[in-house]
Amino acid sequence: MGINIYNDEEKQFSKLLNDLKELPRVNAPDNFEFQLITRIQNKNFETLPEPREQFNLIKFFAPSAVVVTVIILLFVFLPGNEQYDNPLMADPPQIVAHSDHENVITDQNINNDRTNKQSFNAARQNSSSSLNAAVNPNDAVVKPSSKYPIFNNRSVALDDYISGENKRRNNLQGNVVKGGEDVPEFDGFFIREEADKNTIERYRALLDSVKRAQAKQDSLKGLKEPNN
Amino acid sequence: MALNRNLTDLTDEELIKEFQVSNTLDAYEILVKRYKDPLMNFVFRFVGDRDACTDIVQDTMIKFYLNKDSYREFAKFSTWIYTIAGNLAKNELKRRKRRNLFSIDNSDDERSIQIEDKSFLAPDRSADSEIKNEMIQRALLRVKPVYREVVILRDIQGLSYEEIAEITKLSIGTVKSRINRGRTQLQKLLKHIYNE
Repeated sequence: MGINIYNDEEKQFSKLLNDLKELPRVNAPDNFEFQLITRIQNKNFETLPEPREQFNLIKFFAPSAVVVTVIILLFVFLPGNEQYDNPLMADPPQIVAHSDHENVITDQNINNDRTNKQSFNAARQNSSSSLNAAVNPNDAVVKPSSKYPIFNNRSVALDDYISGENKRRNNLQGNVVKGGEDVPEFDGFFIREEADKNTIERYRALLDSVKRAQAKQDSLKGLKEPNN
Repeated sequence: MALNRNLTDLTDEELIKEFQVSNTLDAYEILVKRYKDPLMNFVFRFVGDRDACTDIVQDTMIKFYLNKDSYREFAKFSTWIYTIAGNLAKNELKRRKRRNLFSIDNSDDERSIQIEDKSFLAPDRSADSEIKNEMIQRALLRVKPVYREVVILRDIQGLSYEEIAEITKLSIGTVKSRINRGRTQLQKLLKHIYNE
């Protein structure tokens, strides 16, 4: 048996430990050995029954409650058919560029006759980083990048086209108009210039009347000259 | 082997070996004599009921008799027999707890044991060691069993930390911390004694 020597940790309980040590010893009854040997000789080895595993209500109800709660929540919050959001019917996501800033820069470029394209591109890159700007009614909604290739031989710069400085005529029946920057902003759209018969007839009648008036004026001039 | 010597001179381990090898009942009886009282004291302090305590120690000795071959030489006999007694005592506590859970009229009896009525203790009597010992025993029974067991083994039975660790199958660190917690609980329950 070990010796009960108190160390520093035990000093705080010294009174308690002394009292525990001095508790009266409980001894076995006098007939303890007699009873034991009698049991052994009679082969009476029946000991106290082992306690059965206790049926714990908490152990049973806690998982059951969790399962029931989950099922109820599923029924309550499961989305119904009327709440189903058809992805085909939903509006496509639009990326809104901060066009006010772009418009200002574009106007400056027009005034400067596109001499500072590099600074413009830099400004565009800066503005593209602030795509989370608030949307105003006058803001333009554009696609962020070109989905389809733009063929240079069929393309004209829109600003050039408007200002009449379009030097790149192609041999096809129309032009693909795009923005004035180097980097295409959108796919472009094709302008087909179809001949209008009425307009041609009108212009033709106009030209004929002009020619007739010219001829009439010439004849009048010829009549006046012999008099002079 | 040891028949030439007096059996009472043999150590616990030599006696159980004698009992294992030669089935010498005298060796068994000597071990019973040596350990009946320490085990009675341990189990009584743990369970708090003398009749139940006698039954538990009897059962411990029966288990020792029947399972003598399960003892291995490298272990100390004292720790082995204390482990058997401790397990049986814990089973008794579980059984009582279960009985109290499903019993209607047991709760009043249990409460009468648990509650201290200090109003009946006159100052001169409260100093009386008998009363004090009873109060300590009652307080001990209110300490959690995991702490109670190690406190009894250490502070009442006087076993070393190593022996307690072997009996309870815990590390020495865990044993020390449990002893400390048990003592703290006990001191808190007995503050009206130790604050005076």
